[in-house]
Amino acid sequence: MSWARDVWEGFSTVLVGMNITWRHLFVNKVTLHYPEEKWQLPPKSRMRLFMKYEDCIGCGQCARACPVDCIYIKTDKRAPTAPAIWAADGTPIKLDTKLFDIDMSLCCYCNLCTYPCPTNCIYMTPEYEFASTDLTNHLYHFAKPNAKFLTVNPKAPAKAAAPGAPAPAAPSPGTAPKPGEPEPSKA
Amino acid sequence: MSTDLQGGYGWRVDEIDTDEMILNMGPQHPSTHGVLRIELRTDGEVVRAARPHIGYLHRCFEKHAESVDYPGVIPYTDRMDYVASMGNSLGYALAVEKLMGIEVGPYVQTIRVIMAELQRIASHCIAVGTYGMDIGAFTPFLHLLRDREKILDLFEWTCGARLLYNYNWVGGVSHDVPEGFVKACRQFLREFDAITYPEMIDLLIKNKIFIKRTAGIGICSPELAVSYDLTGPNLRGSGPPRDLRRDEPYIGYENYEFEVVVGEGKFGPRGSCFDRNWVRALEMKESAKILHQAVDRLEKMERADVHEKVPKRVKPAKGEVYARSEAPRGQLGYYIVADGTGINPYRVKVKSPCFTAMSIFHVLAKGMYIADIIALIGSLDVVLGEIDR
Amino acid sequence: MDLVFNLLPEALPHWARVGLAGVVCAVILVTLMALGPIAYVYVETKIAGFMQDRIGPKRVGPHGLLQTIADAVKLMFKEAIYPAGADKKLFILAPCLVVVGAFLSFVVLPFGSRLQAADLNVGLFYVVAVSSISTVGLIMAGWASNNKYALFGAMRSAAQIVSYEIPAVMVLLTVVTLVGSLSLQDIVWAQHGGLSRWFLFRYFPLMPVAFVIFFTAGLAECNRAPFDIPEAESELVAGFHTEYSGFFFAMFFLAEYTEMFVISVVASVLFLGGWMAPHPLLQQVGPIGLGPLWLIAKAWSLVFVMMWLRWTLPRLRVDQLMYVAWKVLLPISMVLVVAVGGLALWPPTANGFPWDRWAGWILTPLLFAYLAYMIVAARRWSARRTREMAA
Repeated sequence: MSWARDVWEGFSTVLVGMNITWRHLFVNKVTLHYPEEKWQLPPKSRMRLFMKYEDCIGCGQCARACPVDCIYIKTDKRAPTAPAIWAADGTPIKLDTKLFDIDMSLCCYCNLCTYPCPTNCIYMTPEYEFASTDLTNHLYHFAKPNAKFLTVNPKAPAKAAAPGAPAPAAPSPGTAPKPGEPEPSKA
Repeated sequence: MSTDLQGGYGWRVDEIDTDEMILNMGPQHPSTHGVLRIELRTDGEVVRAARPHIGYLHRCFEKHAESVDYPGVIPYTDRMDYVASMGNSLGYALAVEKLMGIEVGPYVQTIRVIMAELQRIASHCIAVGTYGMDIGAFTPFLHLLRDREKILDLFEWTCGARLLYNYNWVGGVSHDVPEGFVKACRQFLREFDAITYPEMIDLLIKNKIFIKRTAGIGICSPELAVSYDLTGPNLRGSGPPRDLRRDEPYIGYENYEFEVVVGEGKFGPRGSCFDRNWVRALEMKESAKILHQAVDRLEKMERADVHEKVPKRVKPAKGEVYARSEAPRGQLGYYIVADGTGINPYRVKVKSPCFTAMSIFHVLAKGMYIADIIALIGSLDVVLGEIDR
Repeated sequence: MDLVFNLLPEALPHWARVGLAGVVCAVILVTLMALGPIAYVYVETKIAGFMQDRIGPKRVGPHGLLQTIADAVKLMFKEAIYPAGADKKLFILAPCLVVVGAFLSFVVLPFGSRLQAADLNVGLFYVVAVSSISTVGLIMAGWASNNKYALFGAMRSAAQIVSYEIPAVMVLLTVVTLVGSLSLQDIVWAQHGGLSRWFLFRYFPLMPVAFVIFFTAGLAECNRAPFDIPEAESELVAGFHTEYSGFFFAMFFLAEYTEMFVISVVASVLFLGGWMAPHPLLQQVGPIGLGPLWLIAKAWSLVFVMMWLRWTLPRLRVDQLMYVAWKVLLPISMVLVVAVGGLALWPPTANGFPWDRWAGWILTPLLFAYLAYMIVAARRWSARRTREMAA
């Protein structure tokens, strides 16, 4: 009789379900007690953006790559009399970045801005606790008026030292070797 | 035509019988899987007509795609079906690669398969879990979400994001899998096979009350399903064994052995809400099977550069392409038109599986009880982000 | 009540003594019983959390113990909104009726051999009758809300409660045939002599089926899952209490949990031996009787089972609910009434089947052993998983 089978199945599946939930009463809970315990984010986590202003060469590739246009860059050519400055990987900085703002409220955390950067100065950090009650706090200003740029080419001594060459003469501060000009220490 | 929006309703006043009631399941409702508005014309408890109103989540995706460059569209595609984001970006990447004639290597293909199948399990976790919750069983939802969290942890470890990954790029993937990924994936699969899947079946799918609630309603015959262009689990629940991974294999699916799950009509007529849900639940098991094979393959391969085939500048020649893939919700198709100048697409059109699934709603809803309307929406597994784009 | 009556000074006139005794009993009962739902709501949220692999409330007070108090205070301070066009008198009267219907049953519940407010000789009949007052309150709530959704919910709820009364009462009849009296104290005394004399194990397996039917029907009376379509949150309507906010909602809540407790106590009295201990030796500790403790323990276990069922099972649809009541529970209960009545009248089985004596003493330890085994298995699995995750 299908009626009897229905009743029996109804009863037995209820008991099977109760078995599972009884067991679950006693397993360890998966709750993370935030904020006393915090989840360890993997280093690649894509949370708040950070830009190291001292390494920015002002190329604007990140702003071009951004799909939501949340990076605002304004640059000026550096005056010819201004001292030459370099980024940490040896790229000379030819532009003055007057304005570098990232609007994190627009950012979609896609990470597309970090790939085109030639000096790897913009990257996403695992910092996620930056909630604020004022939306304008999400506009981050990275252009610092009193930033200390590198005035010595950090990679130059390694580049100028050819095997067998005499002791390399470090270029005097302010005179970076222009492309085409023979190296002063070339033998 | 009853499309007159008189008084805010979709029916003209003279069409309404006097003893019928218009009931509005408004955009804010806990069970409509997004912002969906359904107008029901009911006669007591029985629904005589139903009309869904969509568009509350329209974000102009297709227009945005015309103003960003090809790689920049991928974050936008993530946000369409936000529950199964890997599938969306995969479909788009496949379309642009077809347009430009790029073939990715086997290493990247294996990674893509792993990510797609993990995403399929995660998406079906939400589908089956929320369906159970709509029916009234609150506990399986949380168990399945706990396991979805494990998958999301794997994704976060790989690419840094938990929900919207920007992972499948044109010509490759954004990040290589980290060291130890294979071990972690196997650990997840072990727990899935031993605990999550059997418990879900016992606690929810085989429960007599659940079966009684879902097995006799929303019956969709195969002809009706095909004529309304249902795809994915919605179509397979009614019988036709059409799965793009089997019929038009992409990213190497021909190398994996898996069954195409089809609704069997075990507890009622074939094509009921239960069958569609049954297909989703069993597909999780099949995805786990594919994952086992893919992870084994990945382990034996040596690492390759995942950015190898990624073009510096995506600038396809003039042309158009339509590429489709099997997203967790059905057949997701991208139609891309490139005009040969500029780095932005000329037109990106998305064929969304949930949109076509929603179109059958008013047919299946006739004659149901109001309580079953909820069950019907859940069984079609709609995500409004994809319907509205 | 006799206790209190006897404690009062004899100098008072008889009517004053009776009146005062009644008032004191009522105050004690209402106070104690009104504190119950506070604990039940907390336990329910904690159990829901634990079954779902998460912790329930934990911030308000140590381990979240003050959560319900916080909820109750919030509900009391919420604005009581009266919908436009609602019938105000009925709107306010409805929750009162529902609460009254739940609380009136406490009069006859026996907590000990002399701890009972009134040992009516139609005690069981009184409980059934009084619990139907809530139904009137429900319909009033739906009607007075001036809201078609609430009316839907109220009608469904009323139909559900009325339908499930019938199998419940039929099953009560089986117990009454065994005892011969409707008085709840008599029913408890008829089960004295230890675990094997409890009606749950009489005419095994007939009376366990009766217990299951009574418990299921009782679940439906309280609108608890899997029969909670009238108050389902994810359905179209929030049921008859859609329009109620603030304190009125708290009253409906209170009534539901109190009703749960009442059904559990009645089930324990009828089938699980009431305030009788499983073995006569455990009944007294010196001069102090442990009766109330045993009854509360049994009732609370049944309340726990009700909560367990809620978080395990999906909901039944209204017509399926009706199907279960009329086509499953009712025929089985009718058969049971005839069978148990016949067996009780037939001299060889007048005192039960011969294997009844061992049924209780074998099955109960088996059940507890199985539950304990599941606990041990779960803990071992958790420990193994923690070790694996750390590796």
